[in-house]
Amino acid sequence: MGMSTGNNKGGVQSDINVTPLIDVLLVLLIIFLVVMPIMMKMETLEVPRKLNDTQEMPDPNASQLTVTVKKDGSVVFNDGDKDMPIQAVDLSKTLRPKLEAMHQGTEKVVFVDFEPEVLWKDVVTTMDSIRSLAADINHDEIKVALKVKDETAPAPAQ
Amino acid sequence: MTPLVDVMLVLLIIFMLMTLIMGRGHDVNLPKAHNYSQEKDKMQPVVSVGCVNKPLCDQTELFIEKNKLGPINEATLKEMGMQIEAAWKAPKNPDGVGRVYIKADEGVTYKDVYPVLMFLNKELQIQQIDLAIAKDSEEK
Repeated sequence: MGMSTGNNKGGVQSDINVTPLIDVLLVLLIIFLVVMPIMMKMETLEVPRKLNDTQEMPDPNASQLTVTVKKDGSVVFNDGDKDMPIQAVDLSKTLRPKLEAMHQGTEKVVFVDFEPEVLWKDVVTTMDSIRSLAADINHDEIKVALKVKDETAPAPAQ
Repeated sequence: MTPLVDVMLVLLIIFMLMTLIMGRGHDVNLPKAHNYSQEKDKMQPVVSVGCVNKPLCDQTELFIEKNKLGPINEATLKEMGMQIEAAWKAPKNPDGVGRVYIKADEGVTYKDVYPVLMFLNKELQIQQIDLAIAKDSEEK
């Protein structure tokens, strides 16, 4: 009974064939599922660009700012004249006026040096705090340079 | 036949994307930082300095991409330099030429990474080294 339009084989099929649609949708779903973590992963893979020491010294007239991190976490700051032992938390406080005092046009480079036993974590943290200071005082051109010693290996801790 | 092709295509796509999301280089605990620059992968060579005894981290190993080169010494550094130069000669992305991405475990000490940095600086004339970090999740 009902609306039989005929009992021949090639009769009109009333429902749409959804199989290819589902296929396409599944593929899209998978693509999006997988693309999401890529985007997030890209964030974790971000690269802070640290300037390694260039052979030519920046500016002979400009006093070099050197930050030396000891293995006990203390920091020695040198502004070209004298060493100043400071605490790691005071680093940005000490560094800030020095950087602000530097004239425009001079390349602002902060040299960093570490004792051999300093953990890499602290190396990055130090560079990070210099960098955040640079972001604070709107000097994007502030570069963090690695202080290169003449020896092939860092001087052994005494 | 068609369902088979469908399944194969889906698998192909899955594997293509899996290779993309897998991080490059050896898997290490990266140090965390707030300030970083964000760049797309330029297919530059990835050098990793990893720990052998994970919690202690008293020994380190050098990796290029995913290949282990062994403890850091002159020979492995030289091998690393050769592979980096080879990667630059046949670049997958010309933007990555002249650049190296360093992934050092947060537990290694400065003296482990320093020879690598110096080698890159002295032998390969690199002046900018990209250091891998992880985003600090405690950011406000």
